[in-house]
Amino acid sequence: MSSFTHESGSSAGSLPPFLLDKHAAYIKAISDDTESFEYTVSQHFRMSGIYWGLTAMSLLGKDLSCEMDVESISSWVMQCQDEESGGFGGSLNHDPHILYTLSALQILALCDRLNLIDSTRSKIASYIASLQQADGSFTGDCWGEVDTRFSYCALSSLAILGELRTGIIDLDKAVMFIERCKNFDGGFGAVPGAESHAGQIFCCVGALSIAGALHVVDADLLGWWLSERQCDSGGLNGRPEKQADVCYSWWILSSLTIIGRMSWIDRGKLALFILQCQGVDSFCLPCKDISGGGIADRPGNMVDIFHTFFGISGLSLLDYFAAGDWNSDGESPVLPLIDPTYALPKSLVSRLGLPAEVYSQV
Amino acid sequence: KAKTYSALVGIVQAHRSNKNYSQETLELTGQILKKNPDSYSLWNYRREILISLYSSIGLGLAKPSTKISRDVGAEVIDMELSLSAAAITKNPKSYCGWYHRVWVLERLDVDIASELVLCNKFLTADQRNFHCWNYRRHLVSVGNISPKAEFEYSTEKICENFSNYSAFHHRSVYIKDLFANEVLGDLNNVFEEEFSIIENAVFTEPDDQSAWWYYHFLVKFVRDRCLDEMSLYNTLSHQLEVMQGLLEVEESSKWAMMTIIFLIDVMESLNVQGHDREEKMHQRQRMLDNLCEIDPTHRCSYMYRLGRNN
Repeated sequence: MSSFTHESGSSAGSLPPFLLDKHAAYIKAISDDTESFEYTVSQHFRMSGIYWGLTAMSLLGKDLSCEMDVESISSWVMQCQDEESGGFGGSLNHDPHILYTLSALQILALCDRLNLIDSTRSKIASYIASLQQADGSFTGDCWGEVDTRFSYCALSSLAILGELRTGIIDLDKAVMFIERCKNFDGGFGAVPGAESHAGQIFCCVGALSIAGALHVVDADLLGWWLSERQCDSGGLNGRPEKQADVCYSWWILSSLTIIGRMSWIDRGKLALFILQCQGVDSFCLPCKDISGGGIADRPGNMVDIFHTFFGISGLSLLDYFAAGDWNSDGESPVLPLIDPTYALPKSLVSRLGLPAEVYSQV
Repeated sequence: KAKTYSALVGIVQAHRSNKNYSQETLELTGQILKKNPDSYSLWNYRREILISLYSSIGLGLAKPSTKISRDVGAEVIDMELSLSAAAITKNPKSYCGWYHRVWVLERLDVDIASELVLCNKFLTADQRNFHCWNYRRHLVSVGNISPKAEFEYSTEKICENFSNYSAFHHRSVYIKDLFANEVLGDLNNVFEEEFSIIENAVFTEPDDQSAWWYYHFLVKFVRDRCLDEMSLYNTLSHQLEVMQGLLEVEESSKWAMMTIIFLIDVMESLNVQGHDREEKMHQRQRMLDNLCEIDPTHRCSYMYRLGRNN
């Protein structure tokens, strides 16, 4: 923590404490909530929600097999697999989609239950390959929507399945499509001609990292554009003239890390912004009362699992917990680091042998 | 509230398991989608019902092929576009809601002009809604809309609000082809036209990034296509004076400082013997020092990108 105050040189004074235990409690409580309206209408992306929660718990240094019910989570994930295609849906009784196929694989990897897909591994890979179009792009599902988010999900999923370079997809064409999505400002959009947006940029840069094709990126131009996302508040926005939001801490920081230009933003100011987004108020869920914890999109707003994951990931990428002195009140365990390409703990990425091209930091 | 919604969803899921593709179920899906436009599987089920219902009267909706005309497809067109409109009104950033329009457009003869009116409406409500801008560009590519008209639309939007990065981006998408197809006149014309808009923007709102990013792109665009380096050098000399003038009025404008450095660098890269090179280098160094002083957050970026000997 002291390295942060020195680096920023700002008169930030002391940084707000990181509420590790409260965040862990929040994540567990949210995972158990199945009664609220918010839960019900967000069903269609529950698979991603579980991935966010599990990764966040890992980054808090928690042992998932102790803290979470990995057996029932894994078996729930498998129930979401579509028998015909092999793809996974966002929840039970939802159609297969590339977004949730990736989330499912990530969850199984985190729970150390990838063995559950041993018999359907090649089927899943074929499903993903079936979504690739003639121009190298990927649709989200059989209904035809194209988006570079799906390119990222496809490549990341195939890497986890060990099918990235088996020829099941045309990797060169996939890269060519992403290149067509490059814009006048060095950024990337959802489709050719779409405006640069931090989320899409992460997907494209991440996909290029997996494919070993970072040469497509104009690192100086994109790095500059990304660095200009830092607002006066220290937070990052997703596009020019937009408000800062904690989730961009992840998408921008990971992109900058991959292209070797993490030093181009003020890390101390960003850390302060993320810490200020922590939830301090209590609120009620139908089954449980929450007494603080969780992270919101910006200071003072309502917390949610999405921003909690991205806030914790952002701090992890900033190496906030590395020095082991981040908690002025008590223990400061050194917490796991997150991988910028795969958005999974580095140790897991290493264990799975997932490929990624990352530039050294300038 | 959660219970009634869940109950409705349960009924529809049961229908789907029973391969129920009836009109009644179609209506039920519409009811749910109006409440929760992002429930993607429901849109899928709805499309399955439509395909089934209309194939029984000889209309093939499964694959995009020859567009089904309004004569026979009016009901589908109106119903689906109306549901999509309700979805994107509830959530203007609904991927599913916008995609459904694309799906309909691929299969039926939709009135492009009224789709543009819809885009105008949504862009008036939120000039930065990239879902809408993407849909608009999709209409341009499949409809008979001239890129020049879109270029003019972006001018209109920029003049309404210089902070409209999305409009500048839209402009950057069309300028390449329009120039290549000689619609915009020669390079000098292009530069003059574009610069007059930018100059207006940066003098009015110097802290607004949008015009600055576009300006840097524009200079590179012109430099890459330029055949007369002497003429470009003179143009950029004039540009430099304009930016220096801006800096006099807006002493702490980091964008003006960055742009002065940028212009000096581009001029240096040309095969033209400048008469005041040494003075320019001094100015460049002064700008860099000032930049690092007024914007320490980005110091590392400035030193790396601009501090090396280029």
